[in-house]
Amino acid sequence: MEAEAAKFIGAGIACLGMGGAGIGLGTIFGNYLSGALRNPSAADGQFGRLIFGFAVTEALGIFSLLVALLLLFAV
Amino acid sequence: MVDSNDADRNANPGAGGGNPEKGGDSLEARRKRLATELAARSAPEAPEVEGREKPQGFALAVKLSSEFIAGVLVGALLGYILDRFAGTTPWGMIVFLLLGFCAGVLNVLRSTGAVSTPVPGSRSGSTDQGTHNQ
Repeated sequence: MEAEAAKFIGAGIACLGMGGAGIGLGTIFGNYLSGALRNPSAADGQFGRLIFGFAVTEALGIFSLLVALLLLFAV
Repeated sequence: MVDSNDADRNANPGAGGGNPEKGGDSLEARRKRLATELAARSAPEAPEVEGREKPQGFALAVKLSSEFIAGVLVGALLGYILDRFAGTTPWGMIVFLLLGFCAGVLNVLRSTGAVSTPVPGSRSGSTDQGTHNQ
């Protein structure tokens, strides 16, 4: 196999990590929404923690995107 | 609305004219009437804000996600351009993509109001640093 083709295959496999981040974000926002529908008065106070969890979870997806972009453009 | 309240105010002392505490009673009545008038005046504005907020939910979601993605994409693009012209092949994209991620999160926090937007005039002046140093 040529190295060029291996780079593309590796980039595609690395992008699978963003699917994991998507699952995590769906869990976070779904649980936030169900909690907010149960107790709407407490929803606004937890918005900062929601964004914090979103940022931490999305960071791992960004890492896999970074690996994919490095394989595509930088290596 | 004001005219009708004035008419009520004029009519009430006539009805309770035999009250010895007429001044205090009318003051209480006036305060109650003012409270009800304020509630009636602010009540039509509250559902309007709610109604305006309902379609804002979807717009807010699209705005937040687009701001986050824009931060990451701009960081990746800047890193790629820097790598291409400076020759620091992997590191520019790594550093600038992480910086773009941080900028995207900061954009999201700013647009939700969790972090205040910096005022352009206040940053040039050294009043904040002066107060912090003192």
